[in-house]
Amino acid sequence: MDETPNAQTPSLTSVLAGQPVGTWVILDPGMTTILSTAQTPEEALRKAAIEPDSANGKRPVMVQVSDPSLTCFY
Amino acid sequence: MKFPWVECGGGVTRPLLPVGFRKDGRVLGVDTLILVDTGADGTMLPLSLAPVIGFAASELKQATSSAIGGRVATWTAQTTNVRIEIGGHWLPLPTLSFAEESPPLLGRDVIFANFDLLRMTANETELRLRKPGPR
Repeated sequence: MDETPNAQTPSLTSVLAGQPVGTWVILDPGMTTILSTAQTPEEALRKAAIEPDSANGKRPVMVQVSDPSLTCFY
Repeated sequence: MKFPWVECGGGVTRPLLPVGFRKDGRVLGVDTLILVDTGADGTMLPLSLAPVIGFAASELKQATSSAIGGRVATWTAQTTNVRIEIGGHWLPLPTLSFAEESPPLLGRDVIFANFDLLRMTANETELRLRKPGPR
């Protein structure tokens, strides 16, 4: 991850626009491009042809689309 | 290590870190964004991630946990062979649980066991890995 202060805040809003809530999305490591979408993590991994990786390089990022109108309390 | 917060919609930004998971030497091929949550005793992930990380049902023990909104069913991992990668460092996970409706939460056990600094500003999280003690 960027070691410098004031690195640009990544935004999921535009890249996930139009994706239904609950969808699992795999993004490129920069979180700017969708590689696959699916209803389950397994399906998303399969569609993006991602295998277990023993390297420590940059990996794609998997997120589940949440309802942006909900306030988060955890 | 400094991590910019992530904009999640409606102008809301959250302290989410991209982290990797490794179980029994097998690295999950994707990172997951996890919410830094020092109010959580341990780390919790959505239950649907359990099989892709490599957990069999027999490795999970059902329990009940207290959460916002009441008590929820959780499944606690019965193995310690799981590590989490934060900022390029593979760290042991003291505890790992799963719940149906939980977002990924990074509990304070892993944070304070491995970092001697957690600093947050309104748009950035800074973590400083604890230096190993004298041998």
